[in-house]
Amino acid sequence: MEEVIEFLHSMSMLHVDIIPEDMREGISYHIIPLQKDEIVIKDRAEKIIKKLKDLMLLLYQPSASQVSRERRFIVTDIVSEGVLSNYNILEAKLRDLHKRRSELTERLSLLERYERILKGLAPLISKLSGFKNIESTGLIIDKDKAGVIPLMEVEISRITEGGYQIFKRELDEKSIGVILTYQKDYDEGVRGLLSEEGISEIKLPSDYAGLSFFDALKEMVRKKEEIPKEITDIEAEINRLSDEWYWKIEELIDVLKDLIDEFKTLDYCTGTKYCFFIFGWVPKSYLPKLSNAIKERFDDRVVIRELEIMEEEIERVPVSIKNPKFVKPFEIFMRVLPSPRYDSIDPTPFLAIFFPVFFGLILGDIGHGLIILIIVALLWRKFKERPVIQDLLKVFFLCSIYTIIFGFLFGEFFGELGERFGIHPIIFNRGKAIKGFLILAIGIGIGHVLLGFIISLINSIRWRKGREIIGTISSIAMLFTLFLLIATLSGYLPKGFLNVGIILTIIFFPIILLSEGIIGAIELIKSIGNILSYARIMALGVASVMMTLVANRLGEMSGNIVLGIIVASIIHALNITIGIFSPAIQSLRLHYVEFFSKFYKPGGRKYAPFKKTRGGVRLWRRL
Amino acid sequence: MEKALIALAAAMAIAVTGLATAWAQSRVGSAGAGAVAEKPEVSGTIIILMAIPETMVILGFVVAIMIILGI
Repeated sequence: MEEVIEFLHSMSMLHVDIIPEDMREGISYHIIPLQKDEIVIKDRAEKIIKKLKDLMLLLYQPSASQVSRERRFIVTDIVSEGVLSNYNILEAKLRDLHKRRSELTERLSLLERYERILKGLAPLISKLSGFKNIESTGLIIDKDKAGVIPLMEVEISRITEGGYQIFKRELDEKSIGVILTYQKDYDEGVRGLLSEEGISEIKLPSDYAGLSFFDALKEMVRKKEEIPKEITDIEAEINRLSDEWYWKIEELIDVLKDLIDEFKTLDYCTGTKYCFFIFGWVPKSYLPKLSNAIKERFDDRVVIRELEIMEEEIERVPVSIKNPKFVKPFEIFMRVLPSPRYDSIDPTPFLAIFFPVFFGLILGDIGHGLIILIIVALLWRKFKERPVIQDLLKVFFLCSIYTIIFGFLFGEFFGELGERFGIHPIIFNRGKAIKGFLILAIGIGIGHVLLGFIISLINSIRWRKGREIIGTISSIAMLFTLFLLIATLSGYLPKGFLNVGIILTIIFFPIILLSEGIIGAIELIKSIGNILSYARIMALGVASVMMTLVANRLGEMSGNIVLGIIVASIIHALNITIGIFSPAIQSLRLHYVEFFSKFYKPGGRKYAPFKKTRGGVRLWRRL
Repeated sequence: MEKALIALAAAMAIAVTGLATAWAQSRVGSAGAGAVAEKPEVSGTIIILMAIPETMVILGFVVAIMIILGI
């Protein structure tokens, strides 16, 4: 049994699941528990993984990635107590290195606070060395109070009976550093004088409290040169240990995780007196390969049986999304939604078609489109190693193309600047034909929502759901009826159509109520709201046009061409920044709420095959 | 007088919906900030949830345009 589990783990195709109740009916089965030694191994493996993950935090990831080789692992070796104690030693060593590095870094930053004083007074240190029985103190005196130094000298000469020396040096343009040396016997008197006159001495760090001023200064200068070297040595040691251990530890974590996964798979297995069952899901296209592989490895000892999916099981079926290359980047937008159910349709291709179009309709400016294109081109190389950002860049590349296309159709190049370059609207001027733009937006809404209903209808036919088919056809018919009634009442159609509309309403509305209940009627009214929601394409588009108008007018009003370009550029830049986020989010919202609600059934489970992280030989052998 | 009333109506359509949107987004934003602090992976969802109340002010803008244009 463990051989089969390990084999399925290597094949990485089966999404393992609990055997349904109805399959267990009539069979005397039992759950297959882990044996005692396997429980011990599992617990130890979990402990080791935790230890190793803590260890990874102390190591640096080496820049060169290691090519993984399939190594042989023996379970009892990799979870032995000896292994744990080895890693404990390594952890202790690394923690010590990190602690020493932090302490040295802290000391260095403390010394750097005394940089100014050390730099200024360091040349004096050589003059002061070699004196015995001498006390010293350091003072910092402002240049504008430098007159106090001679007066202080007179007093100190009196106190020390001439037994003193004073050294002065400019620290910077505002301060003078003074070192005062005298015999230790006069220490009390000198310090008393300095305290009375309010002259503050340089306070050195507490580490150097026991030393005289110039000894402390000497020590600080020496340390400031030594500490960076010590830190470099510690970093080198951590790097050496990281090079040696990082990839080994990562590999071991993956192997142990694979082992624990195989143990956990027992929870999904059921056994009888003579055999065991494993239930799972596999994409239809993988089934022949899996069947052949099992036959080749196990002959008739292991049998794979394909079962029919019952209607009540639809919710349980895991879903795997596979899209063509040009649609794949749009899958990032589907990650915020729950996975679709097995009996739903993957809406990603529709998102790939309509999202850039809506984006282009809203932003619709050649200049803005070109700027977005340039930004995409600049970021492309920078984020080559980040697949999510690469996908986003591909999406925005497409959006910029549509923005440029619609910019030509609306005759916009940074607003009405296009007029000066001979770019005129082909469809209409968005800033002036607001009514026409609103009608276009509502028209797009009608088309998009109806497409949603048609997709729902096709899906219902595919799954032979009679009630849903009738309900969807009736909803589509009722929508057309409502448009007919609105058009008639608005005078666009002859009054005769009013009776047609009323008759169609009498026919289809009860069908909706019978097939879908009161929810169907509410959904119908919601659909009207959904269609009107597409007016946001007009609203945001007009807002974008007005922003460009404001940018250009303010630029003109400044009176100076350079200033005008700067002012206009700032507002255009703001418009582009808003223009990237707002159309993207509103287009997504139109898809998620208005479009997907017609056919998208969330609540599916993601296809997560029982997959091995690391290849390798069998880990688990039942004794 | 009629022009003044039209202007006032259009302004109110934007102002009231703008206030409603601001209030809604403040609630979504503060809850979203808490959610992102605990689970950074939901940031994409939170950005989209922040955008949903914008519907009110967008439709308010549409109504204002319709009032001004006399549609």
